[in-house]
Amino acid sequence: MRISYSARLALSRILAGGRRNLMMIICMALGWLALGSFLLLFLNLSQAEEQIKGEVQMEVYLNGDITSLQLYFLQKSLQSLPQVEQVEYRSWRNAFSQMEHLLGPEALVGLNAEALPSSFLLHLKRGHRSYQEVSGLAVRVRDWEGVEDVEYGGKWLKPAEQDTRTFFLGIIVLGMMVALALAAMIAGFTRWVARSQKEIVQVLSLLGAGRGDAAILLLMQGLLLGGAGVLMGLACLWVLHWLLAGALSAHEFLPGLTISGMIAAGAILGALGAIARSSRNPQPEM
Amino acid sequence: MLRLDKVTKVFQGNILALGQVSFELQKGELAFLVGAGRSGKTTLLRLIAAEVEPTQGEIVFDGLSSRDQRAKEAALWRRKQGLVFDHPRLVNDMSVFDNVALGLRVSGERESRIKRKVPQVLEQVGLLAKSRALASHLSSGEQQKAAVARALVKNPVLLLADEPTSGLDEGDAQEIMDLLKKVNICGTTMLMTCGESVPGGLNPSRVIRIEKPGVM
Repeated sequence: MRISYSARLALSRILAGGRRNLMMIICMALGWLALGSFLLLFLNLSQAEEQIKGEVQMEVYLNGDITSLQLYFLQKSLQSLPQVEQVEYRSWRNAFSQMEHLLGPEALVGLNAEALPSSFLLHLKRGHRSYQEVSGLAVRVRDWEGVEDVEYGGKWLKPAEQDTRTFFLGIIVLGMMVALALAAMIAGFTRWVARSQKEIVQVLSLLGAGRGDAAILLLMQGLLLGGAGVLMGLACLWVLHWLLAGALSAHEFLPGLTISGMIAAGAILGALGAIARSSRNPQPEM
Repeated sequence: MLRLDKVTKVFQGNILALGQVSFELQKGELAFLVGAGRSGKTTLLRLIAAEVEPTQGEIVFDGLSSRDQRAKEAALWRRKQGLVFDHPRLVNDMSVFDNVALGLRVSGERESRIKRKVPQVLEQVGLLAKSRALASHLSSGEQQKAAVARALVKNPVLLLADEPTSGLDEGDAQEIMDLLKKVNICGTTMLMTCGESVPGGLNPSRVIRIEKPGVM
Protein backbone atom coordinates (compact mmCIF):
# COMPACT_ATOMS: atom_id res chain seq x y z
CA MET A 1 0.00 0.00 0.00
CA ARG A 2 1.37 3.40 -0.93
CA ILE A 3 2.30 5.68 1.98
CA SER A 4 0.33 8.55 0.43
CA TYR A 5 -2.77 6.36 0.35
CA SER A 6 -2.14 5.19 3.93
CA ALA A 7 -2.08 8.85 5.00
CA ARG A 8 -5.27 9.64 3.08
CA LEU A 9 -6.96 6.55 4.46
CA ALA A 10 -5.88 7.41 8.02
CA LEU A 11 -7.30 10.91 7.64
CA SER A 12 -10.53 9.65 6.10
CA ARG A 13 -10.91 7.10 8.93
CA ILE A 14 -10.44 9.88 11.48
CA LEU A 15 -13.07 12.01 9.74
CA ALA A 16 -15.38 9.01 9.44
CA GLY A 17 -14.97 8.44 13.18
CA GLY A 18 -16.67 11.83 13.61
CA ARG A 19 -17.88 12.52 17.13
CA ARG A 20 -15.88 9.66 18.68
CA ASN A 21 -12.57 10.99 17.38
CA LEU A 22 -13.51 14.58 18.12
CA MET A 23 -14.22 13.57 21.71
CA MET A 24 -10.83 11.91 21.91
CA ILE A 25 -9.07 14.99 20.51
CA ILE A 26 -10.92 17.22 22.99
CA CYS A 27 -10.02 14.96 25.93
CA MET A 28 -6.37 14.94 24.88
CA ALA A 29 -6.48 18.71 24.36
CA LEU A 30 -7.78 19.14 27.93
CA GLY A 31 -4.91 17.00 29.21
CA TRP A 32 -2.35 19.02 27.27
CA LEU A 33 -4.01 22.23 28.41
CA ALA A 34 -3.57 21.15 32.04
CA LEU A 35 0.05 20.14 31.49
CA GLY A 36 0.78 23.29 29.46
CA SER A 37 -0.74 25.41 32.24
CA PHE A 38 1.66 23.88 34.75
CA LEU A 39 4.59 24.46 32.42
CA LEU A 40 3.52 28.04 31.85
CA LEU A 41 3.11 28.63 35.57
CA PHE A 42 6.50 27.08 36.21
CA LEU A 43 8.13 29.23 33.55
CA ASN A 44 6.60 32.46 34.81
CA LEU A 45 7.38 31.65 38.43
CA SER A 46 10.98 30.89 37.51
CA GLN A 47 11.19 34.26 35.84
CA ALA A 48 9.63 35.96 38.86
CA GLU A 49 12.10 34.18 41.14
CA GLU A 50 14.99 35.37 39.01
CA GLN A 51 13.65 38.90 39.17
CA ILE A 52 13.35 38.76 42.96
CA LYS A 53 16.82 37.33 43.26
CA GLY A 54 18.07 40.05 40.97
CA GLU A 55 17.34 42.39 43.86
CA VAL A 56 19.77 40.49 46.08
CA GLN A 57 22.73 42.74 46.68
CA MET A 58 25.37 42.75 49.38
CA GLU A 59 26.49 45.88 51.13
CA VAL A 60 29.98 45.68 52.67
CA TYR A 61 30.36 48.50 55.22
CA LEU A 62 33.88 49.70 55.77
CA ASN A 63 35.75 50.72 58.93
CA GLY A 64 36.01 54.47 59.41
CA ASP A 65 39.80 54.28 59.67
CA ILE A 66 40.37 52.21 56.52
CA THR A 67 43.47 53.30 54.60
CA SER A 68 43.58 53.89 50.86
CA LEU A 69 45.82 50.89 50.40
CA GLN A 70 43.43 48.64 52.40
CA LEU A 71 40.55 50.05 50.35
CA TYR A 72 42.35 49.22 47.12
CA PHE A 73 43.16 45.64 48.13
CA LEU A 74 39.70 45.06 49.55
CA GLN A 75 38.11 46.17 46.26
CA LYS A 76 40.45 43.89 44.31
CA SER A 77 39.66 40.95 46.63
CA LEU A 78 35.91 41.53 46.29
CA GLN A 79 36.15 41.77 42.50
CA SER A 80 37.99 38.45 42.36
CA LEU A 81 35.20 36.57 44.14
CA PRO A 82 33.47 34.12 41.75
CA GLN A 83 30.00 35.12 43.01
CA VAL A 84 30.50 38.83 42.37
CA GLU A 85 29.53 40.44 39.08
CA GLN A 86 30.24 44.07 39.89
CA VAL A 87 31.67 46.04 42.80
CA GLU A 88 30.46 49.58 43.32
CA TYR A 89 32.14 51.92 45.81
CA ARG A 90 29.84 54.22 47.81
CA SER A 91 31.52 56.98 49.80
CA TRP A 92 29.93 58.58 52.89
CA ARG A 93 28.81 61.38 50.54
CA ASN A 94 26.96 58.87 48.32
CA ALA A 95 25.40 57.31 51.41
CA PHE A 96 24.31 60.73 52.71
CA SER A 97 22.75 61.82 49.40
CA GLN A 98 20.94 58.50 49.14
CA MET A 99 19.54 58.89 52.64
CA GLU A 100 18.59 62.44 51.84
CA HIS A 101 16.80 61.23 48.75
CA LEU A 102 14.98 58.53 50.70
CA LEU A 103 14.12 60.37 53.92
CA GLY A 104 14.13 64.06 52.92
CA PRO A 105 16.60 66.76 54.06
CA GLU A 106 14.55 67.63 57.20
CA ALA A 107 15.12 64.19 58.65
CA LEU A 108 18.87 64.56 58.39
CA VAL A 109 19.21 67.91 60.15
CA GLY A 110 21.97 67.68 62.73
CA LEU A 111 23.36 64.43 61.33
CA ASN A 112 27.10 64.28 60.99
CA ALA A 113 27.44 63.13 57.38
CA GLU A 114 31.08 62.18 57.77
CA ALA A 115 30.08 59.70 60.44
CA LEU A 116 28.21 57.63 57.83
CA PRO A 117 30.21 54.58 56.73
CA SER A 118 31.43 54.23 53.22
CA SER A 119 30.74 50.85 51.60
CA PHE A 120 31.09 48.52 48.64
CA LEU A 121 27.86 47.46 46.97
CA LEU A 122 28.25 43.99 45.48
CA HIS A 123 26.06 42.91 42.54
CA LEU A 124 25.94 39.12 42.58
CA LYS A 125 26.05 36.87 39.55
CA ARG A 126 23.00 34.89 38.41
CA GLY A 127 23.04 31.41 39.93
CA HIS A 128 24.92 32.70 43.02
CA ARG A 129 21.99 34.40 44.70
CA SER A 130 20.71 31.61 46.90
CA TYR A 131 20.43 32.20 50.65
CA GLN A 132 23.04 29.56 51.37
CA GLU A 133 25.62 31.05 49.05
CA VAL A 134 24.95 34.68 49.94
CA SER A 135 24.99 34.05 53.71
CA GLY A 136 28.22 32.02 53.40
CA LEU A 137 29.85 34.82 51.43
CA ALA A 138 28.72 37.39 54.02
CA VAL A 139 30.31 35.41 56.88
CA ARG A 140 33.55 35.15 54.91
CA VAL A 141 33.77 38.82 53.91
CA ARG A 142 32.80 40.05 57.39
CA ASP A 143 36.18 38.76 58.71
CA TRP A 144 38.24 40.61 56.16
CA GLU A 145 40.44 43.49 57.18
CA GLY A 146 38.81 46.91 56.86
CA VAL A 147 35.28 45.48 56.91
CA GLU A 148 32.92 46.75 59.60
CA ASP A 149 29.77 44.78 58.70
CA VAL A 150 27.96 43.05 55.85
CA GLU A 151 24.24 43.22 55.02
CA TYR A 152 22.36 41.27 52.39
CA GLY A 153 18.63 41.13 53.27
CA GLY A 154 18.92 37.72 54.95
CA LYS A 155 15.68 38.24 56.81
CA TRP A 156 13.53 38.03 53.71
CA LEU A 157 15.78 35.97 51.42
CA LYS A 158 15.60 32.73 53.43
CA PRO A 159 11.79 32.50 53.88
CA ALA A 160 11.19 33.70 50.32
CA GLU A 161 13.50 31.00 49.01
CA GLN A 162 11.85 28.29 51.15
CA ASP A 163 8.35 29.33 50.06
CA THR A 164 9.32 29.38 46.40
CA ARG A 165 10.97 25.97 46.68
CA THR A 166 7.88 24.43 48.30
CA PHE A 167 5.67 26.02 45.66
CA PHE A 168 7.88 24.76 42.82
CA LEU A 169 7.94 21.28 44.30
CA GLY A 170 4.15 21.26 44.47
CA ILE A 171 3.89 22.40 40.86
CA ILE A 172 6.40 19.81 39.67
CA VAL A 173 4.63 16.97 41.51
CA LEU A 174 1.22 18.06 40.22
CA GLY A 175 2.62 18.58 36.71
CA MET A 176 4.16 15.10 36.73
CA MET A 177 0.89 13.58 37.86
CA VAL A 178 -0.93 15.39 35.07
CA ALA A 179 1.75 14.25 32.59
CA LEU A 180 1.36 10.61 33.67
CA ALA A 181 -2.42 10.83 33.52
CA LEU A 182 -2.10 12.42 30.09
CA ALA A 183 0.20 9.67 28.79
CA ALA A 184 -2.19 6.98 30.07
CA MET A 185 -5.17 8.83 28.62
CA ILE A 186 -3.61 9.26 25.17
CA ALA A 187 -2.44 5.67 25.03
CA GLY A 188 -5.87 4.45 26.16
CA PHE A 189 -7.79 6.62 23.75
CA THR A 190 -5.55 5.70 20.85
CA ARG A 191 -6.00 2.03 21.63
CA TRP A 192 -9.72 2.62 21.72
CA VAL A 193 -9.64 4.29 18.32
CA ALA A 194 -7.38 1.56 16.96
CA ARG A 195 -9.82 -1.06 18.24
CA SER A 196 -12.59 0.73 16.40
CA GLN A 197 -10.52 0.22 13.24
CA LYS A 198 -10.76 -3.55 13.53
CA GLU A 199 -13.17 -3.68 10.59
CA ILE A 200 -10.94 -1.82 8.12
CA VAL A 201 -7.83 -3.66 9.30
CA GLN A 202 -9.51 -7.01 8.73
CA VAL A 203 -10.78 -5.97 5.31
CA LEU A 204 -7.33 -4.71 4.31
CA SER A 205 -5.76 -7.91 5.52
CA LEU A 206 -8.18 -10.03 3.50
CA LEU A 207 -7.39 -7.98 0.42
CA GLY A 208 -3.70 -8.72 0.79
CA ALA A 209 -2.39 -5.96 3.02
CA GLY A 210 0.53 -7.08 5.16
CA ARG A 211 0.89 -6.48 8.88
CA GLY A 212 3.12 -3.52 8.05
CA ASP A 213 0.37 -1.84 6.00
CA ALA A 214 -2.10 -2.11 8.88
CA ALA A 215 0.52 -0.92 11.35
CA ILE A 216 1.36 2.11 9.17
CA LEU A 217 -2.32 2.99 8.91
CA LEU A 218 -2.81 2.83 12.69
CA LEU A 219 0.47 4.63 13.28
CA MET A 220 -0.60 7.50 11.04
CA GLN A 221 -3.96 7.69 12.76
CA GLY A 222 -2.21 7.81 16.12
CA LEU A 223 0.17 10.51 14.93
CA LEU A 224 -2.64 12.61 13.49
CA LEU A 225 -4.91 12.23 16.51
CA GLY A 226 -2.12 12.81 19.02
CA GLY A 227 -0.87 15.81 17.06
CA ALA A 228 -4.37 17.27 16.71
CA GLY A 229 -4.96 16.87 20.47
CA VAL A 230 -1.79 18.68 21.45
CA LEU A 231 -2.34 21.46 18.89
CA MET A 232 -5.86 22.04 20.18
CA GLY A 233 -4.58 22.03 23.76
CA LEU A 234 -1.85 24.55 22.91
CA ALA A 235 -4.32 26.78 21.08
CA CYS A 236 -6.60 26.79 24.16
CA LEU A 237 -3.60 27.53 26.38
CA TRP A 238 -2.54 30.43 24.17
CA VAL A 239 -6.06 31.91 24.31
CA LEU A 240 -6.13 31.44 28.10
CA HIS A 241 -2.71 33.06 28.43
CA TRP A 242 -3.76 35.94 26.22
CA LEU A 243 -6.93 36.50 28.28
CA LEU A 244 -5.22 36.26 31.67
CA ALA A 245 -1.80 37.72 30.86
CA GLY A 246 -2.68 41.17 32.19
CA ALA A 247 -4.44 39.95 35.32
CA LEU A 248 -1.72 37.51 36.35
CA SER A 249 1.24 39.61 35.21
CA ALA A 250 2.33 36.61 33.19
CA HIS A 251 5.03 37.58 30.78
CA GLU A 252 5.81 35.00 28.20
CA PHE A 253 4.11 32.11 26.47
CA LEU A 254 5.90 28.78 26.32
CA PRO A 255 9.21 28.88 24.43
CA GLY A 256 9.32 27.49 20.90
CA LEU A 257 11.40 24.51 21.96
CA THR A 258 8.88 23.49 24.64
CA ILE A 259 6.00 23.87 22.17
CA SER A 260 7.83 21.72 19.61
CA GLY A 261 8.57 19.17 22.32
CA MET A 262 4.92 19.04 23.37
CA ILE A 263 3.73 18.57 19.76
CA ALA A 264 6.28 15.82 19.21
CA ALA A 265 5.35 14.17 22.53
CA GLY A 266 1.64 14.27 21.64
CA ALA A 267 2.20 12.73 18.24
CA ILE A 268 4.64 10.13 19.58
CA LEU A 269 2.31 9.12 22.42
CA GLY A 270 -0.52 8.76 19.91
CA ALA A 271 1.68 6.66 17.66
CA LEU A 272 2.89 4.51 20.56
CA GLY A 273 -0.69 3.80 21.57
CA ALA A 274 -1.47 2.79 18.00
CA ILE A 275 1.62 0.59 17.72
CA ALA A 276 0.76 -1.13 21.00
CA ARG A 277 -2.64 -1.91 19.52
CA SER A 278 -1.37 -2.96 16.10
CA SER A 279 0.95 -5.52 17.71
CA ARG A 280 -2.29 -7.25 18.68
CA ASN A 281 -3.64 -6.75 15.19
CA PRO A 282 -6.87 -8.69 14.66
CA GLN A 283 -6.53 -11.61 12.31
CA PRO A 284 -8.96 -11.68 9.44
CA GLU A 285 -11.92 -13.95 9.98
CA MET A 286 -14.19 -15.73 7.60
CA MET B 1 -3.05 -24.07 -10.23
CA LEU B 2 -4.20 -25.12 -6.76
CA ARG B 3 -3.14 -28.36 -5.14
CA LEU B 4 -3.87 -29.58 -1.63
CA ASP B 5 -1.87 -32.55 -0.47
CA LYS B 6 -3.05 -34.33 2.70
CA VAL B 7 -3.88 -31.05 4.41
CA THR B 8 -4.78 -31.35 8.08
CA LYS B 9 -5.76 -28.56 10.41
CA VAL B 10 -5.88 -28.98 14.17
CA PHE B 11 -6.94 -25.95 16.19
CA GLN B 12 -5.97 -25.17 19.78
CA GLY B 13 -7.42 -27.62 22.22
CA ASN B 14 -6.68 -30.51 19.85
CA ILE B 15 -9.76 -29.81 17.75
CA LEU B 16 -9.47 -31.54 14.41
CA ALA B 17 -11.05 -29.25 11.85
CA LEU B 18 -9.82 -30.99 8.69
CA GLY B 19 -8.01 -34.28 8.17
CA GLN B 20 -5.93 -35.37 5.20
CA VAL B 21 -7.70 -33.26 2.55
CA SER B 22 -6.31 -33.66 -0.96
CA PHE B 23 -7.56 -32.29 -4.26
CA GLU B 24 -6.37 -30.31 -7.23
CA LEU B 25 -7.97 -27.50 -9.24
CA GLN B 26 -7.06 -26.62 -12.79
CA LYS B 27 -7.22 -23.16 -14.30
CA GLY B 28 -10.75 -22.07 -15.20
CA GLU B 29 -12.53 -24.70 -13.11
CA LEU B 30 -15.71 -24.03 -11.17
CA ALA B 31 -15.59 -26.20 -8.07
CA PHE B 32 -17.99 -26.48 -5.18
CA LEU B 33 -17.23 -27.49 -1.62
CA VAL B 34 -20.28 -29.08 -0.13
CA GLY B 35 -20.85 -30.55 3.29
CA ALA B 36 -22.82 -30.24 6.48
CA GLY B 37 -22.45 -27.28 8.79
CA ARG B 38 -19.13 -27.18 10.72
CA SER B 39 -17.64 -29.78 8.42
CA GLY B 40 -14.62 -27.54 7.79
CA LYS B 41 -15.53 -25.86 4.49
CA THR B 42 -14.74 -22.37 5.79
CA THR B 43 -11.54 -23.61 7.43
CA LEU B 44 -10.48 -25.03 4.08
CA LEU B 45 -11.03 -21.65 2.40
CA ARG B 46 -9.11 -19.94 5.20
CA LEU B 47 -6.22 -22.31 4.60
CA ILE B 48 -6.26 -21.62 0.87
CA ALA B 49 -6.41 -17.87 1.60
CA ALA B 50 -3.25 -18.27 3.74
CA GLU B 51 -5.07 -16.93 6.73
CA VAL B 52 -4.23 -19.95 8.81
CA GLU B 53 -1.43 -22.44 8.28
CA PRO B 54 -2.00 -26.14 7.82
CA THR B 55 -0.91 -28.30 10.73
CA GLN B 56 0.19 -30.99 8.28
CA GLY B 57 0.32 -31.35 4.52
CA GLU B 58 0.97 -28.80 1.81
CA ILE B 59 -0.99 -26.31 -0.24
CA VAL B 60 0.52 -25.18 -3.52
CA PHE B 61 -1.09 -22.16 -5.14
CA ASP B 62 0.16 -20.58 -8.34
CA GLY B 63 3.57 -22.17 -7.85
CA LEU B 64 3.94 -21.09 -4.20
CA SER B 65 3.99 -23.61 -1.39
CA SER B 66 2.43 -23.07 2.02
CA ARG B 67 5.59 -24.63 3.48
CA ASP B 68 7.81 -21.68 2.58
CA GLN B 69 5.25 -19.09 3.37
CA ARG B 70 5.99 -16.16 5.62
CA ALA B 71 3.65 -13.29 6.56
CA LYS B 72 4.74 -11.12 3.63
CA GLU B 73 4.32 -13.93 1.14
CA ALA B 74 0.92 -14.81 2.62
CA ALA B 75 -0.20 -11.24 1.91
CA LEU B 76 1.12 -11.49 -1.65
CA TRP B 77 -0.65 -14.84 -2.03
CA ARG B 78 -3.91 -13.22 -0.90
CA ARG B 79 -3.49 -10.45 -3.45
CA LYS B 80 -3.75 -13.03 -6.22
CA GLN B 81 -7.02 -14.30 -4.81
CA GLY B 82 -10.47 -12.77 -4.70
CA LEU B 83 -12.48 -13.42 -1.56
CA VAL B 84 -16.26 -13.23 -1.23
CA PHE B 85 -17.95 -14.09 2.05
CA ASP B 86 -21.44 -14.84 3.25
CA HIS B 87 -21.33 -11.35 4.76
CA PRO B 88 -20.15 -8.65 2.30
CA ARG B 89 -17.51 -7.20 4.68
CA LEU B 90 -17.58 -3.74 3.14
CA VAL B 91 -16.39 -0.64 4.96
CA ASN B 92 -19.78 0.91 5.61
CA ASP B 93 -18.73 4.55 5.73
CA MET B 94 -16.82 4.35 2.44
CA SER B 95 -18.36 4.81 -0.97
CA VAL B 96 -18.93 1.81 -3.25
CA PHE B 97 -16.12 3.10 -5.48
CA ASP B 98 -13.65 3.32 -2.58
CA ASN B 99 -14.62 -0.10 -1.26
CA VAL B 100 -13.97 -1.67 -4.64
CA ALA B 101 -10.81 0.38 -5.16
CA LEU B 102 -9.43 -0.83 -1.83
CA GLY B 103 -8.37 -4.11 -3.42
CA LEU B 104 -6.21 -2.25 -5.93
CA ARG B 105 -4.94 0.34 -3.49
CA VAL B 106 -3.68 -2.38 -1.16
CA SER B 107 -1.54 -3.62 -4.04
CA GLY B 108 -0.18 -0.10 -4.58
CA GLU B 109 -1.84 0.41 -7.98
CA ARG B 110 -1.67 3.84 -9.60
CA GLU B 111 -4.71 6.07 -9.19
CA SER B 112 -5.04 6.47 -12.96
CA ARG B 113 -5.45 2.70 -13.33
CA ILE B 114 -7.87 2.57 -10.40
CA LYS B 115 -10.04 5.28 -11.97
CA ARG B 116 -10.15 3.31 -15.20
CA LYS B 117 -10.60 -0.16 -13.78
CA VAL B 118 -13.13 0.31 -10.95
CA PRO B 119 -15.96 1.76 -13.11
CA GLN B 120 -15.50 -1.15 -15.55
CA VAL B 121 -16.04 -3.70 -12.80
CA LEU B 122 -18.90 -1.75 -11.25
CA GLU B 123 -20.58 -1.74 -14.64
CA GLN B 124 -20.03 -5.48 -14.89
CA VAL B 125 -21.89 -6.07 -11.59
CA GLY B 126 -24.54 -3.42 -12.34
CA LEU B 127 -23.53 -0.91 -9.67
CA LEU B 128 -21.98 1.87 -11.73
CA ALA B 129 -24.88 4.20 -11.01
CA LYS B 130 -24.31 3.75 -7.28
CA SER B 131 -20.53 4.14 -7.25
CA ARG B 132 -20.70 7.28 -5.10
CA ALA B 133 -23.22 5.88 -2.62
CA LEU B 134 -22.06 4.80 0.81
CA ALA B 135 -21.88 1.04 1.22
CA SER B 136 -24.27 1.24 4.16
CA HIS B 137 -26.92 2.76 1.87
CA LEU B 138 -27.02 -0.29 -0.42
CA SER B 139 -29.44 -3.20 -0.15
CA SER B 140 -27.97 -6.53 0.98
CA GLY B 141 -27.99 -7.84 -2.58
CA GLU B 142 -26.18 -4.73 -3.81
CA GLN B 143 -23.67 -4.98 -0.98
CA GLN B 144 -22.87 -8.54 -2.00
CA LYS B 145 -22.45 -7.40 -5.62
CA ALA B 146 -20.05 -4.71 -4.40
CA ALA B 147 -18.13 -7.40 -2.51
CA VAL B 148 -17.92 -9.47 -5.71
CA ALA B 149 -16.74 -6.37 -7.60
CA ARG B 150 -14.04 -5.80 -4.98
CA ALA B 151 -12.85 -9.37 -5.46
CA LEU B 152 -12.93 -9.15 -9.25
CA VAL B 153 -11.22 -5.79 -9.66
CA LYS B 154 -7.87 -7.41 -8.87
CA ASN B 155 -8.23 -9.89 -11.75
CA PRO B 156 -7.72 -12.75 -9.29
CA VAL B 157 -6.17 -16.01 -10.33
CA LEU B 158 -8.59 -17.78 -7.97
CA LEU B 159 -11.90 -16.60 -6.59
CA LEU B 160 -12.88 -18.06 -3.23
CA ALA B 161 -16.51 -17.61 -2.26
CA ASP B 162 -17.83 -18.68 1.13
CA GLU B 163 -21.60 -19.19 0.83
CA PRO B 164 -21.95 -15.93 -1.09
CA THR B 165 -25.74 -16.07 -1.33
CA SER B 166 -26.36 -16.83 2.33
CA GLY B 167 -28.92 -14.45 3.82
CA LEU B 168 -30.00 -13.06 0.44
CA ASP B 169 -33.52 -13.34 -0.97
CA GLU B 170 -34.06 -15.61 -3.92
CA GLY B 171 -33.83 -12.84 -6.55
CA ASP B 172 -30.59 -11.39 -5.17
CA ALA B 173 -29.11 -14.88 -4.68
CA GLN B 174 -29.84 -15.73 -8.32
CA GLU B 175 -28.24 -12.49 -9.52
CA ILE B 176 -25.09 -13.16 -7.52
CA MET B 177 -24.90 -16.74 -8.83
CA ASP B 178 -25.39 -15.54 -12.41
CA LEU B 179 -22.66 -12.99 -11.88
CA LEU B 180 -20.21 -15.53 -10.51
CA LYS B 181 -21.05 -17.89 -13.34
CA LYS B 182 -20.21 -15.18 -15.87
CA VAL B 183 -16.95 -14.51 -14.10
CA ASN B 184 -16.06 -18.19 -14.34
CA ILE B 185 -17.00 -18.34 -18.00
CA CYS B 186 -14.58 -15.47 -18.56
CA GLY B 187 -11.79 -17.73 -17.26
CA THR B 188 -11.50 -17.12 -13.52
CA THR B 189 -10.97 -20.27 -11.46
CA MET B 190 -13.54 -20.47 -8.71
CA LEU B 191 -13.93 -22.43 -5.50
CA MET B 192 -17.21 -21.89 -3.75
CA THR B 193 -18.72 -23.32 -0.60
CA CYS B 194 -22.44 -23.96 -0.28
CA GLY B 195 -24.65 -26.06 1.95
CA GLU B 196 -25.08 -29.76 1.38
CA SER B 197 -25.94 -29.56 -2.31
CA VAL B 198 -24.94 -27.52 -5.34
CA PRO B 199 -27.44 -24.81 -6.32
CA GLY B 200 -29.39 -25.57 -9.49
CA GLY B 201 -28.56 -24.01 -12.84
CA LEU B 202 -24.82 -24.29 -12.35
CA ASN B 203 -22.58 -26.77 -14.05
CA PRO B 204 -19.64 -27.24 -11.75
CA SER B 205 -16.59 -28.93 -13.13
CA ARG B 206 -16.08 -30.53 -9.75
CA VAL B 207 -17.96 -31.06 -6.50
CA ILE B 208 -15.84 -31.71 -3.43
CA ARG B 209 -17.79 -33.13 -0.54
CA ILE B 210 -16.35 -32.68 2.91
CA GLU B 211 -17.27 -34.83 5.80
CA LYS B 212 -15.70 -34.23 9.09
CA PRO B 213 -12.83 -35.02 9.24
CA GLY B 214 -11.52 -35.45 5.74
CA VAL B 215 -12.68 -35.39 2.16
CA MET B 216 -14.57 -37.70 -0.16
